[in-house]
Amino acid sequence: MLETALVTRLADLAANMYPGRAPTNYDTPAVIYNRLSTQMEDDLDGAGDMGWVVMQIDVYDPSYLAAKELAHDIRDHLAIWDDEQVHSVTFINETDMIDETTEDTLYRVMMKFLFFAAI
Amino acid sequence: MTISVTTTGFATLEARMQSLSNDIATKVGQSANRAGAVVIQKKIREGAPIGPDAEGSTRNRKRKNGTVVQEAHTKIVNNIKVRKVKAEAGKVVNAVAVSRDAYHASMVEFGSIHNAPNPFFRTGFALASEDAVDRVRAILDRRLTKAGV
Repeated sequence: MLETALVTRLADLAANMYPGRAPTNYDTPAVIYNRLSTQMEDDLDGAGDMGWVVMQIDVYDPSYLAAKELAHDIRDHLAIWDDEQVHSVTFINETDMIDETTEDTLYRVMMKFLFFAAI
Repeated sequence: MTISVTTTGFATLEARMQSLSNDIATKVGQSANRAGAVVIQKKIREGAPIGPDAEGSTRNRKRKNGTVVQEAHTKIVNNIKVRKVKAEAGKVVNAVAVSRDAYHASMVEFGSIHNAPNPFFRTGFALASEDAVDRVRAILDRRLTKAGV
C-alpha cells in the first residue's frame, strides 16, 4: 500500500508521522498525510494496479523555520523516489499556513504531491 | 489536482464582439463570465459538507484565552458565493468564494492538526471547469445572437 511505503520512506526524517490528523498527545515536528484523490490507470488488459494519487503532506511545528526545513527535506526525499512501488513523485505546491486551533500557535507547511504508484 | 480545459474560436468571438458597442459587449461578456462562475458555485455546493446544526443556531466557541463566546452557526453550503472582485482596469473577475461568516470552511477544506482535510472546494472546481467553459460559450452565443451579430 502506498501509505505504508510513504511512512517507511520518511521514517528517518519524520519520527512523528500521523495519518489524517494528530492524536491527542502528539509531538512536534508533526507530519500528517492525507490522500486527496486516486485515479486508476487502465492498461490494455483493463484496470491495472497502477494509478495517480494526490497526497497532502503537512508539517507542523512551533518554529516556522524548523517546519520549513523539514518540509524541504521531505520534498527532496520524495522527488527522487523511483522503485517497484512508486514510479514517480511530482511536487505540485507548497503553502505556508498558521494553525490557530491549538493552545500554542503552530506553523504549518502544506505540500501537495502527485504520485504515480502501485495502489 | 491539475485542471485543463480547451478553448477555441476566439478570433470569431472577437469579430462578433467588435461589431457591438462597448457597453453592450461588456454586458454580454460579464453575464457570460458570471454564468460560468455560477456553474462552479453549484458544483462546489453539491459537494459541501452539511452538518446537523441549523443555520443560525447558537454555538459555543472557546477562544484561545479560554473565554467562551456564543455565535450563530453559519453553514458552509449557504455561504458559497459568486462575487465580482477588483481587478486591473478593463477586466472583470467573478470569484467563487466562501464568505467570511463561514470561516471554518478553510479548516474543512485544508484540514488542521485536529481534523483531516475534505477538499470539497478544489474537487468541485475541478469537476465543473469544463462545464463552466461550455456555459460561458453558450451564454456568449445566445446573447450575441440576440444582439443580432
